[in-house]
Amino acid sequence: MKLHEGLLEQAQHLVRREPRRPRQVSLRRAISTAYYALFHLLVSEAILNWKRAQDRDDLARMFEHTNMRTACAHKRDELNAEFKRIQETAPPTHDLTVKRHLHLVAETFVEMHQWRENADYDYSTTWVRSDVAALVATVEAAFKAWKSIRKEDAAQAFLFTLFQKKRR
Amino acid sequence: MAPDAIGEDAIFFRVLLSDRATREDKLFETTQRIKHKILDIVNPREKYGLEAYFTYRSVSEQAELKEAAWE
Repeated sequence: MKLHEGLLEQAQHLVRREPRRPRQVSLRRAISTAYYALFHLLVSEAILNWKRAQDRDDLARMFEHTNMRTACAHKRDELNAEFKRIQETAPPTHDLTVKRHLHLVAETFVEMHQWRENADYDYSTTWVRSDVAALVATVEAAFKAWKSIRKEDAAQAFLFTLFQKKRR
Repeated sequence: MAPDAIGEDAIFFRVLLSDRATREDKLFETTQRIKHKILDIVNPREKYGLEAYFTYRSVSEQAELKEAAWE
């Protein structure tokens, strides 16, 4: 099992671990783990584009969370603007479906980046199971969305932007 | 409103859901629908330059926790 798949499975386990009275530690770790599942999914996909396989592990260490979050926010906003220009009644095209999946991935990364920060460092938040289950379910959906578009040109171009430095 | 994880101003929405709406098999669709509806109406990023984040809890969960911020 790949790291990102194991992390997602662990997040799913943690959110259901105590169904009646979930412990805060389980919910916090579920959020953090779900974020890292998505982080490692994208990094592992991005490094596959590096031809020299022996350098890929080192390359993976060069991805920065905040840069990735910024790149995802840019992609999400760019796609939002594009969706607004398209008539809601317009027939769904393959291109539009790819973009909607990519939007989910980018949007989910931005959100999870925030909630991981809260889950790991903010003592003031009390987490509830339904909220955390919704976050984990969103990461699951982002995984499925990514799998359906990973070979598309738009998805591959997006991976490259994750490596870039801040563009605010 | 509060700064987010990257230090930028953000708006945080607390959404209280009926117990039925938090059924696990519908949770993703429900929360996505609510979030995008609110974003369409408020449009915080374009109108105010604010990132928006959403948290959810059920009526039962809030009844147990009785958190003032959620009342």
